[in-house]
Amino acid sequence: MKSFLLQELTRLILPFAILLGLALLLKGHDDPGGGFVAGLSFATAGILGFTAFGARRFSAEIRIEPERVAILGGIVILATACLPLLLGDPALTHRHGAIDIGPASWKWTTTLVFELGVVMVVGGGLSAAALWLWETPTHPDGGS
Amino acid sequence: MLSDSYTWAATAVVAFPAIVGALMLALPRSSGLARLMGVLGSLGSFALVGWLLSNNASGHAVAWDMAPSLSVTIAWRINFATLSLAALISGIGVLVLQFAGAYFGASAKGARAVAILLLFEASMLGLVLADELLLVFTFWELTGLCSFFLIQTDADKRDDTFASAQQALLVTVAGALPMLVGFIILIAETGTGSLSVLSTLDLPIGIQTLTLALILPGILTKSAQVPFHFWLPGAMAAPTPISAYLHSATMVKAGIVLLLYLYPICGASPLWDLALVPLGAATCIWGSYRALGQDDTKLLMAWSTVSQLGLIVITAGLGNDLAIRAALLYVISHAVFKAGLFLGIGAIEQASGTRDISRLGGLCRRTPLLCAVVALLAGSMAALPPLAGFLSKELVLKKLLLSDTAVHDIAVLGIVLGSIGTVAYTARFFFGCFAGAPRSDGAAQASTPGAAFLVSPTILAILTLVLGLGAAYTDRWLLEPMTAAILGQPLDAPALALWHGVNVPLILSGVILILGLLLHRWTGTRTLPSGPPWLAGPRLFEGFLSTAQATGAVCSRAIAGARPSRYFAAALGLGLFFALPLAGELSVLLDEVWDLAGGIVLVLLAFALLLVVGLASQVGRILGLTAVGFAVTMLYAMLHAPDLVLTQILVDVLTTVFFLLAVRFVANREPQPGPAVAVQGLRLGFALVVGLALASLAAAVYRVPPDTRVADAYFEAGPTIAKGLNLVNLVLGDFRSFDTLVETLVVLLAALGAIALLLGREVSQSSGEERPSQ
Repeated sequence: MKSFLLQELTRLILPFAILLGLALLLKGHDDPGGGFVAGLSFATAGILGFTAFGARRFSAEIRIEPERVAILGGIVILATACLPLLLGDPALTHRHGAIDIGPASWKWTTTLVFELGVVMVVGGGLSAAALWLWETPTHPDGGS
Repeated sequence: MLSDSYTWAATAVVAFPAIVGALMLALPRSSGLARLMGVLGSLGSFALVGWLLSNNASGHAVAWDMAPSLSVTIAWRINFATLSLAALISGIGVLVLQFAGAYFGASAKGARAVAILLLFEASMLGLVLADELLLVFTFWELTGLCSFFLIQTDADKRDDTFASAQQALLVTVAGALPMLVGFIILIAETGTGSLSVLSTLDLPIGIQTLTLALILPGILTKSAQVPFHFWLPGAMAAPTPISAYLHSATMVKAGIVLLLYLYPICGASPLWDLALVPLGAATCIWGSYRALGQDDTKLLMAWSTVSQLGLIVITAGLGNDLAIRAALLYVISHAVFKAGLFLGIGAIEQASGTRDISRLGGLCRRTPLLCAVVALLAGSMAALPPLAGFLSKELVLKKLLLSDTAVHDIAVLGIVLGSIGTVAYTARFFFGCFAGAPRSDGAAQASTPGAAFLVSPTILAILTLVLGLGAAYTDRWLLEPMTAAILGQPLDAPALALWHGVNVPLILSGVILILGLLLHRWTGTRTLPSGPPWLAGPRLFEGFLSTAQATGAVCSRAIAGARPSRYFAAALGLGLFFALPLAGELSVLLDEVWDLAGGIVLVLLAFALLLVVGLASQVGRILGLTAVGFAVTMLYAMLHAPDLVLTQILVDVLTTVFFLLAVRFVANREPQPGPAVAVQGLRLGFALVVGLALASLAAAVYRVPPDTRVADAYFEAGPTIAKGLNLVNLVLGDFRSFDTLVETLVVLLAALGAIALLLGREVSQSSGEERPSQ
């Protein structure tokens, strides 16, 4: 069901979908958004790609294996959870601060790393599940 | 509290072998260096322990307060006893790893075994040094896990390794579960999990008995007591150096060590002697008997270990300060001579190519050096003077004659019969290997193995001689301070000496020796019956496993076999019971002013719901469900909840996609006739009642003024503590990030689980098997 129209539209939409995900992640601290929603939007973007180009092919083309992303995300959140222990704080302690460059001020927080892990798990995990559902034949003879 | 350098040193004692082992696993190409790295890894720990000992370090060293409120703390208990045990473990570790390097050669398999041996050594050191019960438990399980992998080292040569490893793991892990409960009860009752604090408390007898009863299964399984002993002979599938280290010198002693640590905590419980002495006696006698019937020297040693562990448990079970001292000495002397004997068997195997008594014999003439070394070690096992084994057996007997507990007779019976058997099987082993004429070509052409195979057993043999000859010093410098450190008070006991004049223990030793030799003459080389087959441990274990699986299958058929709608009905029925009395609250809906937009959304929602119920095609229903979701999204938008809108839209889209993907797997089933009209009517009525009940519930909730304390606290803390403005996200990512952590891991596991299921499906299809039922 590969349609030219869908493929071209997808090429057009995907960059914006990725930007949306990033914006949701980065703005989430002060505005609506956050890791879970960002992850969902990445998963949606991935599934759009699967639909347009075929799941395996798309995954190979963008050189991302969603399972790996999900597992890596799990490692990232566990690492951010445990890292404060090394600094003598209780697990999951987050740090915050701001960098001032002239008049501009950029707020940073370690919550962002934690949320990045959530994004990877949600986005990667859902895309991975979709990919496998897609690629598994429903009949013993391999048809679908 | 200890000074920082001691704390660091104690941490390094445990961490050093672990790091070296992990490095070796990470760099598989270093297998040529395995021997060197193994020895260095243990030597590092040994040196650190020696440094701590020479500085008289003692106290409670907190390395890392991870979550003090949960009693999760990495803390070491440093005193003379724990350090001496650590020295014993790392010292024997050096010798065993040196031997293992020679035994395995430069193979990749050997390098892996050496690496895991180092990891095991680290866990074992952690186990004896740990101060927190939860830490003890962690290391306890780690030793079992290492053992699981180590038993399978020879998986390429024999096919029983996995079954043996699995059996050893399951038995010890199952025993450790009640032990964990016991630990938790101790922590909950006293508010501390620190062994050094617990030792000073005087707990009520009830608590002591309860915790001991729960902890005992862990101890009895780990230290191979009847009826859990059978995994230990099974574990002999492991190569000799591994058996020497794990299954004779250290890991099987973990239970005993914990028992000794627990003595000041629950030693006053009547369960202490009532449980330990009979079980220990049964183990001691049965182990000796089975050792007598073995042809494979390694199996003989395994059963001998079972027997000697039983003897130590009896001694500890007699339960007073003297008994603890005797048990400690026996732990040390047994670790030394049994590790040496196992290594000696490895050397015999190397010299003659076999380790079966029926194929050995006459080795004394072929390799007199090995013969002398093994003679010393075996003599120690048979408690011949002036060796360490004699000293410890003498102390046990002396203790036995002093005690007058109710279980005294059982203890005498166990120790005397077990010791007679010990003399007999030692004779069987030693004369079988070294005396008489060679019974195979290998034995006839045996030659002294290389120095690498002899160094370690020789050192252990010398050690057993020195410990025995220097009895007074062994006592004053090692045993007394260790016992005092464990009991927390100085010991008032007669000094140990090799020669006390002719007294009852000495005569008893002599009688045991003579009777043992007579028993050896009588049994000769014949094999003894191994007991009724239905009582054999492995068979009981298999029976247990298959029963457990069958029970699980019955339960899961009963629970998981039902249709989802039944669970649904059950849950809803329970909900209705509470919700229906609230029907009066529905009047609140009439008091509200309805605005136009809300009304339109509600109509849309109702229409979408009708689609879900009414459409015939599955795809159509799924899209109807999506429409329901979008209608709900509009409601959220009207309630000014942008976060919910965002999430709901995305969840809706993804749910639709997944439904559509999943429906392919069921779409091609035969179309089933719809249910009868009466059933449909019933369902409709049920749905209406449920809907009404939920609406009543919502109305009732709406009437209760919300408690805003939590929300207010978050509003206040958001900008100040978490430095953010989006409270929803701050709660998820910061305030309650532990919840999010676990939830995210659930998502990850669910995704991986789905993939695993699909993979299994693919595999079963490609192998042409029947399609899994849906």
